[in-house]
Amino acid sequence: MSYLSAFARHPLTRRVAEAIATLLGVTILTFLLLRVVPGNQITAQYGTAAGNLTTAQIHSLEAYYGLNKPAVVQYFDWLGGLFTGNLGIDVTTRQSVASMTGQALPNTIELAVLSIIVGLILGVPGGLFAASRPGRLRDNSTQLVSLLALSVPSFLLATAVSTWLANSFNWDPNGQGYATLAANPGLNLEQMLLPALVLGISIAPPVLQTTRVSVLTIRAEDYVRTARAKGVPARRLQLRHILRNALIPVVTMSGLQFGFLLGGAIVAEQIFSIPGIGRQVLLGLGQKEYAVVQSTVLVIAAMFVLVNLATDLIYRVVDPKVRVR
Amino acid sequence: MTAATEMSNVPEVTIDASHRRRPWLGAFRTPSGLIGLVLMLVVVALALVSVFGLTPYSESAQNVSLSLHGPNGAHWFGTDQFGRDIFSRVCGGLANSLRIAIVSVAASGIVGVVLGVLAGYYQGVVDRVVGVITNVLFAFPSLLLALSLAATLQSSWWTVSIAIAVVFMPIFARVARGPVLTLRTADYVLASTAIGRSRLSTLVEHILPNMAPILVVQVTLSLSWAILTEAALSFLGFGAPPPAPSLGGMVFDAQSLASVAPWMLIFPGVALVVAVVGLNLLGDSLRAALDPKTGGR
Repeated sequence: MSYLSAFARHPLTRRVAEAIATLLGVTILTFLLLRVVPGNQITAQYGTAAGNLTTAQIHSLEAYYGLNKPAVVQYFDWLGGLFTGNLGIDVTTRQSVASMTGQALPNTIELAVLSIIVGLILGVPGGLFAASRPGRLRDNSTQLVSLLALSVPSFLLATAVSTWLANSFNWDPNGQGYATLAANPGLNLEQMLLPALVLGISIAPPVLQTTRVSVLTIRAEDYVRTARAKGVPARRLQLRHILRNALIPVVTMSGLQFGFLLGGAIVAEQIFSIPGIGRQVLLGLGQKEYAVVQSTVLVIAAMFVLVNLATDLIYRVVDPKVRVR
Repeated sequence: MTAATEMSNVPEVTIDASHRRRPWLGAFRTPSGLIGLVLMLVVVALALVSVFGLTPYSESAQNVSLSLHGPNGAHWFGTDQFGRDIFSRVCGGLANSLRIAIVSVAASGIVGVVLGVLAGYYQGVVDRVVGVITNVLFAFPSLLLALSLAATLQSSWWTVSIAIAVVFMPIFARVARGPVLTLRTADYVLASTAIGRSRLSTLVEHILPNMAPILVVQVTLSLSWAILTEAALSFLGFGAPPPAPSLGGMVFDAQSLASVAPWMLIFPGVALVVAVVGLNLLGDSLRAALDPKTGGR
């Protein structure tokens, strides 16, 4: 019995319970989101022609889509469907949203991973550079560059860079059809280069700031002073004692950014014609494919919650200070 | 008040009443704060030109005989594919960005701060409920949530504002909740309730004023995010409907024409970046000036 109450009060249990509650809330919000839409699946599918349907036809369609049931029943039907992997279908193409998502998701994940790599390559050295002389010229100028990078919207950067490259160098890999990593790795990476750069630049500033603050904090710690007093060589001190510990918050930050990229890549996917999950939402919204939008938004939000949970758990393992008692 | 002052002599209480000395004026004494202020004055001036209808040309009147002219004496920023004056449209676009940013940040700020303060001050069930709401809203990547909401509501400038407000509300709730947790046990706050003030009047008189610095910074930075979010929504086709000018929409229009008419991309793009940089510089300088650790300079 005491084991049970210890389990219930354990911080990890609470964290997981919180994630589950959040996921439930997410399903309710996504469900409501599309119930607020003027019209319903029938008017969406038949457009103005829906006005010509007889009352009997409308009733039979309502029964088909389950629209004649109370909202609560509809919600649980939908939720039940989700658990069996039924995410609905695209009414026009008759493709299941689950299989569409299965195709789109790897592209988005690949883009997110590449963007994180670019963001880390730019942000971590930038943060170390800024932290090496706090408050001096190199710190201030690095921070200014970082603030500028944060202020240029990625759609503007993407439009400007792709126009310039296409005009000046006639280089437009994204103009051709999308090649998956498996089908044509060379072309795929060429197509991923610009979007990953653009997204990486938008991720770099928070990575840079986190690295900078974290290095400055760690450097002021007593154990660093002790190590220095004991004569630990400068290089070893920097790498083993400072950098290694300073990178822990950076890992957390990258995890959060990864979750953000799953949905935040919408703009880059749209501009560079990458058939990812963000573009799937956008196309669904444009074509009023509500099942597509609803399920895809839900998948993204669920992954966001799970990635954040995973980041949190990894953080607890990596950082001895928060390692659960 | 006297009781509160006496009680606050305890050394641990670092939260003082420094808001009375207006430390944020220090933000404008640094170069970056000053640059931010100047940039914002330019942006606001251009937006006001549009608000008062003083633009040299109509923002949406088309004149195809003038289409795609480069910058010249009559059209300082050139014209677009419909012969519309880009300078006038940039002014209108800035007015649109600022209007949506101000309305959305005001709405999210008020609702978010009220929820956050209630959660932090009363705790218990209120805190749990607010916590669940913010967690759920945080579960959606911000642009995705704004996009879904903006697409769901009929598009107009104020539905876009509502969509952005919903996205930012949980941020304000979290930002407000944190300091309340610390402040509610500060001695002068305890003293205020001890001398018989109601919890509400303690909240209004002692807790809210001490949160002002944090909120000022948060509002400034949120305005810049709101401008970016609005621009991204317009770029994706889910902003206020055309022909109303919006900077994101103008960048979208320029996408296919940027090689023949680069000014169509450059001027709205620069206007957008200037507005966001200005707000970010202001926000960072305010944060530095108001942060007790870096000292009120």
